[in-house]
Amino acid sequence: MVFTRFVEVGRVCMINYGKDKGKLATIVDIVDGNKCLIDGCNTGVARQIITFRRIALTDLTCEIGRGARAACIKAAWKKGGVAEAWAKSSWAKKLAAKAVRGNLSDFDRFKVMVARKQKSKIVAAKVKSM
Amino acid sequence: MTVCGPMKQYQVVGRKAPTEAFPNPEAYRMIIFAPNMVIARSKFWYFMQQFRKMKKTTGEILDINEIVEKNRNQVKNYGIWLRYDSRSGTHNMYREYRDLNLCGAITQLYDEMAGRHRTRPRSIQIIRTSTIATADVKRPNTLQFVGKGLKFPLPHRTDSAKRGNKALSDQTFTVGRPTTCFR
Amino acid sequence: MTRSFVATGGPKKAAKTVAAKGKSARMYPADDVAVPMKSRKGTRAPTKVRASITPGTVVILLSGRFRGKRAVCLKILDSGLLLVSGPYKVNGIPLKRVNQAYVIATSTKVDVSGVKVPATVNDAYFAQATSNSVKSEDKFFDNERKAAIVSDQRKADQKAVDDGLMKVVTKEPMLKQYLNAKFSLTKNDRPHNMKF
Repeated sequence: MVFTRFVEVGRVCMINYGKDKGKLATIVDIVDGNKCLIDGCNTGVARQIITFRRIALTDLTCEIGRGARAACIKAAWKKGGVAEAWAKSSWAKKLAAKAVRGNLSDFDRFKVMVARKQKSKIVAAKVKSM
Repeated sequence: MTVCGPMKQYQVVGRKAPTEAFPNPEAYRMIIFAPNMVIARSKFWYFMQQFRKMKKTTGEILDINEIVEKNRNQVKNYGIWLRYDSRSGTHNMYREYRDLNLCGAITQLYDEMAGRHRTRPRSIQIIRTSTIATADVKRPNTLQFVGKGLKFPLPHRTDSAKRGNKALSDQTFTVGRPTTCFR
Repeated sequence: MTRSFVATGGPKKAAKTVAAKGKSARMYPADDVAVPMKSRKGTRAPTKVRASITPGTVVILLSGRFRGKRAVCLKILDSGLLLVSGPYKVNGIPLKRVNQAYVIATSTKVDVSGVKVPATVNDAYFAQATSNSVKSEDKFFDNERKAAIVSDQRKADQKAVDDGLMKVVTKEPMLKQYLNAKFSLTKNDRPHNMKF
């Protein structure tokens, strides 16, 4: 197995626990084998030390120096097009779809149910004819 | 971290209570690490008793305030010289920690001393602390994390919260098997 | 301080003289004057209906024989009960009163400004008529089932309301089918996390 995501300075990660759950942040420095310093100046996450258990590494990185300040990270994100790349990723799309589904009203859920029935009907007919 | 919370840095100033014979006794300033002011004052008198002939009943605290580190945005290397009483004797020690501020490093120290040596906070005395330049780091564990171009994968771990559930560590029982392999 | 004791009639009379003269009595009545307890009847505050329910809100009924069905709230009656209608034509729910506690309010709203609810449709309208003509004993042995007789007045009122309501309901696509469908929870539905 080849690893593609590493804990390294500039790695973009997603917080998966606590009040910043679901937000992106950038690894700015590595503290020790369990913790790293992250900065989420682009997403409203305070600069803080966080354990690796509470983050998930993404495929994205940005070019910053060790211990970079917020302004540098912002510039690096802009230069690397991190926000756009993230929005394009299937991970982000899945999260967005999940959020949309979670906010559906009762009527919307009914409409989805009807649409799904229609879809499966078409699929079933097609499968039968094959 | 003790039950009172993480450690803080206090500057305590105290002196002997003035008498008619000595209307203006000398004041002493000490930097104390303690989780709160009450413990900081108590520690001040503990150390003061050892250095000078004065104690709480015959002295007074003139001033106590918390020292907050200015730069809490960068990870720094901290070296801590300490002395502690083990079950069989007293030892001197030098330890290194990486943290954003000194108080964080001191908190780590108290935690580690408790874990590795079963040392209680009362038997630890901090002698000296200082930030250390990357070139001067001595301990191999710290050296690992100060090098340039450091990177490593996270091959095996449990997620702190899976599928919108509570963190695994907060649950007594769970129906979901934890995922331990992440890319 | 000296006190002069004046013979007065009794506790009631003493209280009366106090009220007439506007002064405190010189004599304190030995016995307590019985004052009837204040009735708490009739002082009840009008029921507050939660903000999510307004005329036009589609609600999910949770109890009774229409449980699980969706209906349109037309009005909030003076008693605090909600006046709902299916409409009857769509899902069989007639003009009916329901308690707001047995209802889930959805965020779906129907414009009911054009629906005219007859003024006679109020709490009294729904009160059950008690008939004394049939003796209870006879009633008990009368096991024959009789179809409920719905008065022409009710039918007319239902029609009046439904006509207005159907105009709005048919305008919005899928809404008619939605009102006709029953609400239910399936696997992995977590009602406390759902938005209605």
